[in-house]
Amino acid sequence: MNEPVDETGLLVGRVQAGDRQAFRVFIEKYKRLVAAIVFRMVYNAADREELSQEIFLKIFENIKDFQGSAKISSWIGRIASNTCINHLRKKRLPLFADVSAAGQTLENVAGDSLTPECLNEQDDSHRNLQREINRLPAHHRLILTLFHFSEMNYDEIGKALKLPAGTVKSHLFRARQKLRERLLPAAREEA
Amino acid sequence: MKNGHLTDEQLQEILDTGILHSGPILPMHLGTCASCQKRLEAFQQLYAALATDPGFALAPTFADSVLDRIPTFRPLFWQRPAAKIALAITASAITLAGLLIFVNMRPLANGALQVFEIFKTAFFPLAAQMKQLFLWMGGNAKPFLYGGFGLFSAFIVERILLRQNVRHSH
Repeated sequence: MNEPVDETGLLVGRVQAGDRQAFRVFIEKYKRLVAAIVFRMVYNAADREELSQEIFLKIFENIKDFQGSAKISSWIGRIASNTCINHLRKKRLPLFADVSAAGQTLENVAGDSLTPECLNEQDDSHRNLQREINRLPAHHRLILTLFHFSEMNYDEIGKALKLPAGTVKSHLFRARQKLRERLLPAAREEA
Repeated sequence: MKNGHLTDEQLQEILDTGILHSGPILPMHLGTCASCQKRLEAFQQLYAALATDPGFALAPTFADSVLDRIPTFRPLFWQRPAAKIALAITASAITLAGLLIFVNMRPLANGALQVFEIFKTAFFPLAAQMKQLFLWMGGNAKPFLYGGFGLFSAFIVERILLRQNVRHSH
């Protein structure tokens, strides 16, 4: 995500001063990022909206601690990831298990993840990709989203999730490898 | 390098960081090997797909819902101006009472009386003139005095309320 330093810095400064209107602008600017992380991590549609609100409330409470040394999108990504991980732990949902390996069907896990409107709009390949992403373990889904959607690098993801950068890298490689093999039969034969 | 070709990990590393830490020879191989190029393109397609929006949008009223849950700032009781004034008056009264009870005020009181006498002598003619003026007005000065006091009180109250509004707007 491109972040013009001045504009973002001013906006963050106003939110840090407690300006509610500035926080509204901030929410509109970053809700897509938060929604993407929550969508990938949480399957229950009813929980998603509530969890997204909780993430923005935490952001408002803690934004005074944001020093500006990191990208604001990385900082938001960290708060969103931790909130989602805590939610999964509270619900006793698996973080590290591969959904397909656990013998669950996609319908059991992500039956409401895509609305009919969404399904109509998306082509088959996109739908297949979403389905295969949903079958990955939660921590793989999270790392993929943070890397490809939040544009965080290995180090930033590592700091956010308290993992060494090398571990983040190997999780990323493995997740992509799985996706490639599942989506492209030729790749599976190669492997 | 597997069978002379780049591994999947190496291809992903090139796409992730733009460089390969193993050295420049392998990317050179990529320029000449059709098989590796094909696999790299497959990964590029996957990367592009992963960067697309998953298609979940929050409600249009989402920002309002979040802002509704943020409590409006209300100053604590002792931070409110009225409470501060009350506390100041109480503290002054306690201090004064302490002085009256525990400190021998006689010399100070005698001194104050002397000063008062000096002022009385100096300003008595003026006070007498003022008294004459009030008498001339037939006692009608009282409404003016009460009016002035009322205006002053309104000014103080308005200042306190205005300051509270400013705080709430933040």
